[in-house]
Amino acid sequence: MKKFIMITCKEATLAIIKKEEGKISLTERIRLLIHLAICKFCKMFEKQNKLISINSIQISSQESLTAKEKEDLEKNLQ
Amino acid sequence: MPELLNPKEWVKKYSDLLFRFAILRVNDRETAKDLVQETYLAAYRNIDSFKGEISEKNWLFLILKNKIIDYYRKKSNEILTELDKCENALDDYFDDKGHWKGEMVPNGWNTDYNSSLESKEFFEILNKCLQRLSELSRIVFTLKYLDEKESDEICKELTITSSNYWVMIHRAKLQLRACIEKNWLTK
Repeated sequence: MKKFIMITCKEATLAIIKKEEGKISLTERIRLLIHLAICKFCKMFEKQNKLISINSIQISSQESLTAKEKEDLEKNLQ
Repeated sequence: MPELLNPKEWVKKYSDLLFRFAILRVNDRETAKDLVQETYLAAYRNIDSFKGEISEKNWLFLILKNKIIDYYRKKSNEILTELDKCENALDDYFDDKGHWKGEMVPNGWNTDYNSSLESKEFFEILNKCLQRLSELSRIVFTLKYLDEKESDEICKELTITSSNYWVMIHRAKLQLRACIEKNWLTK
C-alpha cells in the first residue's frame, strides 16, 4: 500500500509539470497531492516552476544587427 | 505585385525584429542571420502568393517561423544521443532513491510567486539560463513556453515521442530553476 501511494521527489516534480499541462491521471494527481502535503521542497518547486512558466513568454532578445550585416542582407537580395 | 508589399523596405524595417526573434530561438548569431536572409529570399520568391490577408510583417514572421521549424527538424537527429544524457542529468538533482540532493534542494525566493514579474534583472537571468540548456531541451522549452504550442504539436514537429518530450521538459525546468536560484540575487 505504501508503495502504491508514495512517490519520490523525482516523480513528483515530473507530475507537477504534467499537471500544469493538464496531462495527469487521477491516480497521479492523488499521489502528487499526498506528496506535496508532506514535502516542502517539492511544494517550493511547484511555486517556482509556475513562476518560470508564466514569465517565460516575456523573454526577449536585446541583440541587433550591425549596419554592415544589414548591408549584406540587402546585397544578397539583389 | 500586391501593393501591400514593399520589399525595398524589408531589410531596414524588419531585420532587427526578425533577427531578435530568431536568435532567441536558435542561440547562434550566424544561424539567426542566415534564417533572416532565407526568410527574405523565400518571401521574394513567393511574392505572388501574398494575398494581403495578413500584414507584411506577420507574413514575414510566418515564413521565419517555418524556417526555424525546418532548422529544428534537422537538429532532431541529435535527439537520441542527447536523450541518453538527459536520463543521467536528473542524477544531478536527485539521489538514487529519488530524493532531492542536498545542494539542489529548492530554497525560497523573495518574490510573489503568483504574479508576472516586472524585474528586468529576472528576465536577463532567465534568458541567460535558457541559453545554457542543452540544445534540445532549449528547443522544446522555447516551443512550449515562448511560442505556447501544445506538447502534441511539438512532438509532431520534432518527431519525438511524448515520453521524450517529458524527459526534456522535466530536465529543462529543473535546470532553469537551479540556474535562476544561483544567479538571482534576491534582496
